[in-house]
Amino acid sequence: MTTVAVAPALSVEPRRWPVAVALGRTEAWHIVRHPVALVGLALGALVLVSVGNDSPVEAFDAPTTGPTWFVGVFMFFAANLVATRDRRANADELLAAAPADRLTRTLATVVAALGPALVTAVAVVVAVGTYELLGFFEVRPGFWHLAQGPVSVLGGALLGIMVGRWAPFPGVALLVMVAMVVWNNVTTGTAGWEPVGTFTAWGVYTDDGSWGGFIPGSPMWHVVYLAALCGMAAVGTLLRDVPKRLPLLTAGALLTVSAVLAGWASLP
Amino acid sequence: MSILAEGIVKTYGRSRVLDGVTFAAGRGVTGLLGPNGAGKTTLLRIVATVLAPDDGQLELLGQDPGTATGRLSVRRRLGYMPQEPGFHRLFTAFEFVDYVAVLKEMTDRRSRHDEVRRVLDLAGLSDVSGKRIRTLSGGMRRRLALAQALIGDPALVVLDEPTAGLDPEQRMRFRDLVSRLGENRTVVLSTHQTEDVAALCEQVVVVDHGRVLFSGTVRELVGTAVGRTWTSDERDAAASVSWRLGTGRFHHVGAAPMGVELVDPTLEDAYLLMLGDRAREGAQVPA
Repeated sequence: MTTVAVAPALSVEPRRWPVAVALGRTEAWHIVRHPVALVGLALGALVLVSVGNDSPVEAFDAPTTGPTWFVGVFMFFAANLVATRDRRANADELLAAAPADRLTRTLATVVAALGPALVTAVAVVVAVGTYELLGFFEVRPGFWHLAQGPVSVLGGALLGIMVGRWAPFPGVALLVMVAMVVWNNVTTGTAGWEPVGTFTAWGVYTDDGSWGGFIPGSPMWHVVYLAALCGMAAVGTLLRDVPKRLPLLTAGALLTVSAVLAGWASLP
Repeated sequence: MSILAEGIVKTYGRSRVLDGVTFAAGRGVTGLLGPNGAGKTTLLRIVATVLAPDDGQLELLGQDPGTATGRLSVRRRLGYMPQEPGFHRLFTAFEFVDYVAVLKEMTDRRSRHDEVRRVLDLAGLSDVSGKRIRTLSGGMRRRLALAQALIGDPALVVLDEPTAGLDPEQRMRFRDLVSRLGENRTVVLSTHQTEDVAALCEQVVVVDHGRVLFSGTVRELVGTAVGRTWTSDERDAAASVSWRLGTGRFHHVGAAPMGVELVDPTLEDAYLLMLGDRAREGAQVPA
């Protein structure tokens, strides 16, 4: 006989964090296995397995910048679709009668953004280990070079969720992504500004395709800069639903200052 | 009483959708009966804490849903099936109910999954629990909506037009389930189908134009039509509403003339009489 799991009825305190974590796990799974995310993961995997031992820059680039382009972009859209799913399904009325309120659901999506980042981190570790065994590296990427992949994927998912919470309308996510690509083109096309893009290709090709050294700048501060942007996206998402905004606005201001300072420090 | 509503008012713009609704509901099945646009859905949304009334007093399960703590307390013991539930079509039946279960604060995975299996079994959906919702029939989706409302064994179950779109077999199955539910909790359902109310409900509340026209037992409602239903071989101009029966005779509802052949009224007769002119507009069957 099956036991009936009755929700606690005596306490009148919201069980926000336990529910957000449990729901976040579920939503992380929904993001990662979303058809759009699966396309990104497949492309990311293709990039990682297509690297040979004849190109040291490719071997360096694939696990450091590959995740941003081939996973981060798609996770942005997948997370956006998951964040807008209830609204698109017209399920808001049904869910509004549940004890977990909208803030808890939003908090859960922020937690869920860790899922794609974790998957990316595992893929990067596996790829680096494999490349190491196969002797693909002429120049080994450092921890901070490798960290930018999972962190930028986390940022992509968080940004997708933030856009979904604030502007859950068709086409908005695409516009935001276009703006991101434009910003990245500006930073990568401007010498010395590369580290303040949404990702940085630290390896430099020479004309014959061989390793030409690192571009100037600090990979560590670049990752801190990306992490601050992630924090800003998380705060921006939660601001949509919190009853009292001042604490989050304060945190957002601090994160903005951190992003500016870390971005500044990452420049040559 | 699980529901005590007094003078509930809800306005959308200039439209007064609920105009001082007063009713009470306790253990058992209570039916909200009324034509389309009567205000049933708005009233149920208020009872389900999805909407707040503009005015009036409301007590649900002994709590005031106007306060945050009261609302949370009610929601923890509430199951709600909206008229148009809005499913995530890529989810499987199991995933959808599991999703709602998490929102009902069931954070322990194992016991939650046990509960999801239990309610899917109750709704007769065990065999399709792994199927995507988009592949389910309309009737199965209604049962899925009911299944999610039963998570956590709620003390108050609110069902908006639960039998809409069900075929006769599914409707019978549904009635069986709801009547079982009503044995030990409060179930409130809205419908414009008198046969559902007659089959299921101990209490009935007739709503029209945002007002309660009647609140009492089904028997009491039927009693209001005694002496006001009759049959004859021809259409009777004195009747408010008439229709031709399968036997070829005419069934009439209204102020019965002297000497006519009176028959026992049904719930539908009483309901039509209560609606008066509105019923005449909507229910007159052409000869």
